[in-house]
Amino acid sequence: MPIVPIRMKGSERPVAERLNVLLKQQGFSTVVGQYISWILGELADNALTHSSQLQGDRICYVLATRFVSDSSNCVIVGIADTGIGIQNSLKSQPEHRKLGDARALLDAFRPNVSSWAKEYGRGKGLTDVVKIAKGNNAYFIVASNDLAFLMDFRDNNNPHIEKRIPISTAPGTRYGLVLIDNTFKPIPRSEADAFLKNEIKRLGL
Amino acid sequence: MIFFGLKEFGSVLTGREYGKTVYETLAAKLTHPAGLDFEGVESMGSSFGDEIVIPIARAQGNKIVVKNANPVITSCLTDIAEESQIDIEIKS
Repeated sequence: MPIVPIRMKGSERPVAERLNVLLKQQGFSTVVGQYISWILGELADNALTHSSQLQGDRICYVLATRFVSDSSNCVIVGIADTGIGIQNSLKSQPEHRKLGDARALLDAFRPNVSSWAKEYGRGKGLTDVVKIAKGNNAYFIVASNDLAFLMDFRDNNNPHIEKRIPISTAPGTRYGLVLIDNTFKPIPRSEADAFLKNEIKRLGL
Repeated sequence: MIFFGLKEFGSVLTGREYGKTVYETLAAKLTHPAGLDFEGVESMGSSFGDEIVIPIARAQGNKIVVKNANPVITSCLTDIAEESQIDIEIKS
């Protein structure tokens, strides 16, 4: 699926539906599209809610590409916005203001951490990306402004986060999520949180 | 118990605001105890799920029955149940 702009909340749903159809046509298991739809919904919602102060500026882009790795069908989904970046969004809340940028970026993936005030139920979408990638033994890169991290779950014995040099330091957030048409093990958010907490500590953030 | 179908709202149910909108639509005709039928729904996001499952459950003793939820939706519902301390019975 080539680059598709999403400008309004709700516009991601027909994009996800179309992607589901394309994935099935290309032989992917149904669950791949179902998980991607879940993630796309959460990340697009984030981009169109948090990424900028000005409603008219909010936009995110989505694309998806198929490839084969070790005989498995894989899909890489790219989602990008041109907002203020995850870390700046989180640090707009007083309780997170003093965090370093790298720590803020990773903290944002923990459950119940949100750039909104303590509004009921927020702060789950990014955790869902971690839990889905972990359950699939897959990986993703998040780049936000001038920071980037790889979250790599391919090796069950060594799930880890690595700091990376971002391809671009342009304002905004960019995700590259790889999912593999293989087993998806349901992982609770609490397990994703434990992973994030341990890695943040290991990285000395 | 009456089950309210969600497929009329789409096969992909995501977005917190859309969840609120759908809940408001359902609330106008809800009678408790109410269940949710996910037949025809391929995927649901956590934010959407929070906005419809939790308020319905809270209005009926923190319990709700759902049916026809596929494994991906079930995974989402399991998280919602655990974090919100509600009982979601998932029927096939």
